[in-house]
Amino acid sequence: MFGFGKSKKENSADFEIEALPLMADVYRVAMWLARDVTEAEDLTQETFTQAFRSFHNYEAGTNCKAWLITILHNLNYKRLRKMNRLQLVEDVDEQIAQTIAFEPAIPQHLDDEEILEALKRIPTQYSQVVVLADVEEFAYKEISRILDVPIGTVMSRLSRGRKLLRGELAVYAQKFGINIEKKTGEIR
Amino acid sequence: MNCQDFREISDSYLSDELLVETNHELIQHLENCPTCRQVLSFRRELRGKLRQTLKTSPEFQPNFAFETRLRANLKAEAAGGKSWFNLSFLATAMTGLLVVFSIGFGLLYLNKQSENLNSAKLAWQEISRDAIGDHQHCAIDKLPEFRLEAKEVSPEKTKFSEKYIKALQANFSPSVEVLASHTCKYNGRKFTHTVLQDGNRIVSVMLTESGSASDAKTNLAESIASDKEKGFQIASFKNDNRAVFVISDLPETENLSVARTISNSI
Repeated sequence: MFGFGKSKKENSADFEIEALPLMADVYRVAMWLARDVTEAEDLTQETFTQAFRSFHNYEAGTNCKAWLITILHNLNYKRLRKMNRLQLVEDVDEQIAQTIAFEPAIPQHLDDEEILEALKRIPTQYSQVVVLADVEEFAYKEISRILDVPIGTVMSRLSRGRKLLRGELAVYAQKFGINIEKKTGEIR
Repeated sequence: MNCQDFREISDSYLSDELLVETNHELIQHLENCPTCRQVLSFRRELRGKLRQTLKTSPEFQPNFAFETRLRANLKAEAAGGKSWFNLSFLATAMTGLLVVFSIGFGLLYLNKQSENLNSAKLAWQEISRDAIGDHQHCAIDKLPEFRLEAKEVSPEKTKFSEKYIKALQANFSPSVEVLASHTCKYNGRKFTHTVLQDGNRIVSVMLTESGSASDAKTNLAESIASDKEKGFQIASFKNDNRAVFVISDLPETENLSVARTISNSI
């Protein structure tokens, strides 16, 4: 039906209630994607501007955070294309094979910075799924929509991402003499 | 369930994604495997720590100035009256209507242009037929009667014909001469008719008002049309609001060449 919809004032009120409280969440993911304060701020600003302009498309009662993060990822994709920084997914099977055998036993010995550094060392296509699932707590289906990839791909990337993260932490812990229990072979 | 199976599904267990039966199997395995209990504990702690780290790390928090700026920008966005949906919808609708009307009017205009052009071409063909008739009548059948009527043509028109006659004499032969120059009517159409002769060849140069037929031609010499009808070669072109016909029994290329010389000289 053709109509003039809600007034801007009504839209603004709804947007302020539903979307604006999620600014920190959007910024966090933007920062993770961009790794740069200025770019993260630009991405967040653009995400909220676009979200505000198309707020009539948002279905009240659904996951507003997932909707915002979807917009953010689309903008980031365009940003990377513009900067010619889109990279093919590299084959990390070998990397996984080398790291999967280790399981650090005492993660509480690792501080925030070490965890972040380990996460940053993982290829983006895996770390972004780990962040969306384990930090932002999105369901597979939501991640699938956000990244516009099949659910099976989300599951496999998440599994690989988690293994890579554990491997990175194991290597890191070992490097600094933290007790590592090697599980290769004997675990059945 | 063995330890390898447990490791494969322990993340799904932490995300509460397993079937009840699989959960039971996993819990049974955990009761008897301290290593896997440790692994599960590690993974749970790692996940919690990762979440906490990213959510509390200052590096991943927006600063106050940015939040203020973002809110101010959104307020400015909101101050534009009706929602963006309405504006963009209206803009899209207006653009769509404009495109539809433009295409419609464009097609009508082209159709009208096409009709006008067809009409002008028919009018030109009509003049062309009259010119041939007049050539047959004046230059072929009644030529001897008109030989001495050159005075009937106004001095202005005589001056006009003098231009191209000189050009023809220069281009073709000094022996090109005017056999007759007069104003005549054929089928109700008035022509300024000059009959030229070079040897045994007769050429008619005829001028008449082109009227609506002028739309069928351009003023360019390149647009000289050539045709053959009733055994005569006809070359025609437009000069301002006049139609000019060169009619003869010369070969097509020569007749065209005469017409081009005349066109260039006037």
